[in-house]
Amino acid sequence: MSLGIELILTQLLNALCMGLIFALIAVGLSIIMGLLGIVNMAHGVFYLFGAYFTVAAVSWYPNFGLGVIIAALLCSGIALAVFFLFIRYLMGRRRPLEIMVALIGINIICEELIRNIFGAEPKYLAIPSMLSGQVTFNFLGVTLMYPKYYLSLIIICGSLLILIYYFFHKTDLGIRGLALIQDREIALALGVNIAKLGTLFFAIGGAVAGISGALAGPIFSVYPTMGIELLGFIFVIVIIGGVGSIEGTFLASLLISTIKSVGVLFASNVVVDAFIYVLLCVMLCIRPRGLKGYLGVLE
Amino acid sequence: MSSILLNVKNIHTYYGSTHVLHGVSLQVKEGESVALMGRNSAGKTTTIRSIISLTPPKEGKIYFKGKDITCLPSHLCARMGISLCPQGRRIFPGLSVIQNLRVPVFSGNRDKNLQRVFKFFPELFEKNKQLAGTLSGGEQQMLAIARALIPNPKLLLLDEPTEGLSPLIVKRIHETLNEIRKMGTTILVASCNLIDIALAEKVYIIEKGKIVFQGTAEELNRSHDIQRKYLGVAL
Amino acid sequence: MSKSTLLRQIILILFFLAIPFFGGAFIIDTITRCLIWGIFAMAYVLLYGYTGIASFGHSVFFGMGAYSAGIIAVTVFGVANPLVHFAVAIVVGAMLGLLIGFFCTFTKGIYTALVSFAFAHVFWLFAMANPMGITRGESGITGVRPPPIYVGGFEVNFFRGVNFYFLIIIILIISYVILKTITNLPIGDVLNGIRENENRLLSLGYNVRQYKLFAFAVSGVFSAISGVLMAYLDNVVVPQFVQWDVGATVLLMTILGGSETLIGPLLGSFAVELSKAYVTPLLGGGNWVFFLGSLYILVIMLLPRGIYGLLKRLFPTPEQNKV
Repeated sequence: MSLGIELILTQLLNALCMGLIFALIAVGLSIIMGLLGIVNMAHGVFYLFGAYFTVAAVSWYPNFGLGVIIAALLCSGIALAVFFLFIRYLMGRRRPLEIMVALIGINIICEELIRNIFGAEPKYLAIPSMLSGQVTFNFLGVTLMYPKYYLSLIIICGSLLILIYYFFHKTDLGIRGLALIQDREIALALGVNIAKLGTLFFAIGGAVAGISGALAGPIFSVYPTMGIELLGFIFVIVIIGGVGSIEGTFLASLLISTIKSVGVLFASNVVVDAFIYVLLCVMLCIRPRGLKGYLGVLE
Repeated sequence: MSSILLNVKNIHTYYGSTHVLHGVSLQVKEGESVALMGRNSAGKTTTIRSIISLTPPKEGKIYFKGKDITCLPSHLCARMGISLCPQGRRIFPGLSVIQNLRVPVFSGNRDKNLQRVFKFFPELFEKNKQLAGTLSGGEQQMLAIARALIPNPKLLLLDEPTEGLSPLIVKRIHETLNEIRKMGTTILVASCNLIDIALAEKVYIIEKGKIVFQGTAEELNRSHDIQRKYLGVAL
Repeated sequence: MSKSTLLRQIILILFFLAIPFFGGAFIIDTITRCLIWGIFAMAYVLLYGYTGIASFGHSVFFGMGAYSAGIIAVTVFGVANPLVHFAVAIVVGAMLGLLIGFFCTFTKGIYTALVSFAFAHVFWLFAMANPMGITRGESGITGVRPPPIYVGGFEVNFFRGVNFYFLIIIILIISYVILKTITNLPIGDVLNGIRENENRLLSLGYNVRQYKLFAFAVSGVFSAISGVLMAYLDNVVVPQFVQWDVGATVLLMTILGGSETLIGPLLGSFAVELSKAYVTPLLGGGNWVFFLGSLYILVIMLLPRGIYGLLKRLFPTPEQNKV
């Protein structure tokens, strides 16, 4: 019987780990969707570049932590480039779906660039030796052995999310961002500069997605389509959680990752994925604003 | 003779292809308080929105402090000293009271202004951590006014500040707004509620997107015919 | 329709009818592909350009039309009669259109795109999962094309090569006429109205939902038909038919060609498919992807009204000059 509990606890911890990684990617997308009303199809690019930049950085100088930091900085740079070259121009001048198309183009090009530079086969990103191996601990009388790396991911990603939450709920800049999401017109009429905040949040979202790509690299492996594959789930998370809501994104990420971890024990991957998308459709019918979203955000 | 703070000159505003404002002109002098009265859908809200560039006019000009703000983006209008208390309150529902009050952008002493605003509305201080979406209608209106007061504006725009509120709360709001008038803030109130004439020295009446009456508040109060004709009721 | 327009259209049709006499199998196959995508894109623009509904999951109608042919022909019923395939595809297209359209009536703008994408993705997963063996999963269903029939001692296949090419031209003309008629009827004005100012129509008492569902159903029907045609052309149905790529491609074709008319998307489908056929060997395999990605970006940045919009600006017709 204790074997069963061990398995469940391990799966739950895995779900927590995966959920936090998803949440980091999703939160950037959610905020930008709520703020600017655009679906950033290129968001997967930051996740992708985060992983590959780390691979490159580590092969140049073998320090994983440094690699992640370099990747984060480069990703925010790329995010700013995308924002200034494309998004600033297109916003207000094109329909939202058209902006989506342009971002798909960016996605296509970036993926192919990666394929050309690094090749199409998956790359191996090593877990830093300091974090390899297992940790043994007691929980409710059960002895559990859990990989150190996963545990450290939980801690790092969790802390980042808490930081982001505090930024948006406790600082003036963050509060104004939430105000723009909840009622853009009135926030503008109160003096809030949407261009400045949009730039800042886009860069933060890109950096954070890059970090999660880097951190997830050793677990999920690094390959050119890793971004676009994940993007579907990230959209599901953003909508189920509620566009523009950090708590909602967090809850939805945990929900989806739990379904995925627990679901594959009972059914095939494809069935679990289908279930998640059906869940999205159901959610859109009964509560379109999501778990913790605000009314009238995406019009 | 105080100068003209807001000068709206012959503006034509459209919603899509619908022509809503037909050559609206009005002036508000510094320190004055002006009411823009009219029935529902007469064009009051559109005028307010045009001033702060939420729906900028296609023709005509708007001057504030002598500068042309016709096409100036809304957030820059706000930073010039115009503050909006919109129709329907439109507080930020997912933010707390205090978070709502932290949104307006201005340079100045935020804490001092917060204290002032809480003095006007002590109930907001009591509930300052409560989510604004869970406040009552009257409390939300007080929050909307408080939020508009935070930046210590030169011009306060109020759109239907007493709509749907109980007489007691209307009295409170009138008291607060009269205090603010005494402190020298210029006010432009858009309303279909005759009671709000008490807030103003000068009154414009708008009907179907055109200004049809311009005069002092006493003149309007005296003339029941005009009241009935354009506002449907008489005091 | 003015005489000059009719003349232009007849010349165009004659041009296409003449192509097989000058070109080889490759050109015929390529242009057949352009025409099939053209039908799909025209079906799409009815919803996107006229009604203003941002559908991003249109691959579901195309793909499920193809799959219904595959399922009827091979995996379940073994009925090779193309009329049956088309009939079932039409029904499937209409039903899916009503279903997805129903959910999309609750959404606005970009949410619609995501809802439609979600539905398309579910059907893609369904195709990959191969429930009860009816979709054959990743490898797909082969042998969908109807077999040849015997006419006066000769074996004739209407669904291959030049015969198929002529058949598609006929189907395209019929589809165009039907769709154009719809846009010219009062119902077309209502659809335009929904795009321009939905609230106005609602306040005037129109049942906007019904009109949207109608547009979805019609769009679904013609998309499904084009799906069957593509299944015949390739003689196979694979999950890629339902993948979101297809939805993105038809959207690109529509914007590139011009989303304001029915002809625009046809131009767009030709532009994209012809460049895929002729630019790819010039650039080399992997570089086609860069070309496609740049196309997505450049079209949106520089040519939002598409080729048709550009042509209209460069060569305004007399009616426009009067205005």
